[in-house]
Amino acid sequence: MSDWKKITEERPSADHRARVMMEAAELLKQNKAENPSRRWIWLDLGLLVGGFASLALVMRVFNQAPDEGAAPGLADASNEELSVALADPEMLEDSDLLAELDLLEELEVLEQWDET
Amino acid sequence: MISDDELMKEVAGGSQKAFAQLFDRHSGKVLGYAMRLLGGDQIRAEDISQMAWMKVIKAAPSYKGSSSFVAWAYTIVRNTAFNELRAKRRRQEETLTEAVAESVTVASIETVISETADVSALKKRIDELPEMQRAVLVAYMTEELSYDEIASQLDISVSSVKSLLFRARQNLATALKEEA
Repeated sequence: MSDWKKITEERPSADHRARVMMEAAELLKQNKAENPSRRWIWLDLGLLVGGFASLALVMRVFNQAPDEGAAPGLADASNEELSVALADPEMLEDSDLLAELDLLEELEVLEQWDET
Repeated sequence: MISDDELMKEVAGGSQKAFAQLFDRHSGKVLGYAMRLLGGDQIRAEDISQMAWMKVIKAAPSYKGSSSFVAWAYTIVRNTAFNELRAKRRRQEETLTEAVAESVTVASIETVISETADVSALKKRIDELPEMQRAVLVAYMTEELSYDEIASQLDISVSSVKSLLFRARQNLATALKEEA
């Protein structure tokens, strides 16, 4: 068969190449439209997932921002404000506030334990 | 180097760069095969080659890569060229002698070829063979098709295939001996 390989080989002309490439361009466009490559599919999926993740992050940040008129976080509160807050039964019903108070108490206990 | 199968996957996705790479790698073989089948007629061979390359692009999404790309491309070229020959033969109503030539073997033709150092002279002699003899001989030698396969593709009987092969070998051997 090796001799036949030599026999069945010719150098194509530049014209032939140009004509093939020109006609090929149209068909390749069709292939691209009908069969997008996996690389593009993965890129599209990646962009979609990334978009959703960014959206979720933005929503979370907005949800965490304090509303106007709502009770301020305890971390920013002064001692006076804290005592007012503790005396206010409505504020004590706020579960987030109670959780933060518990945390603060725990921290104070730990600090006192450290000092001793 | 990126494999033919990988390039075909990219062609299936519409990559022009991959197609150009595949074309530059194999266009010589594809065109040469078409030229031998069509008796050295470069214009017809280029047309067949162009049609074959378009079929390659269209078939790329379903290409499985089970055989070598070149063998697969040869099949496309041969089918396209045989369609042309069949149509031409029907027009001409060419009659074939149904002489059975059991003595035709690949080895006997290979011997003739191996004794011929000048490849271009051999190409010329093959191109000068009558159309059907040349088509049968080239398909038989290049792709190692069976008599049955060639017969069904050219729409002729198996005994005609054997006869055409026998006469092709005889004519080729005579021409080469005269040249020597």
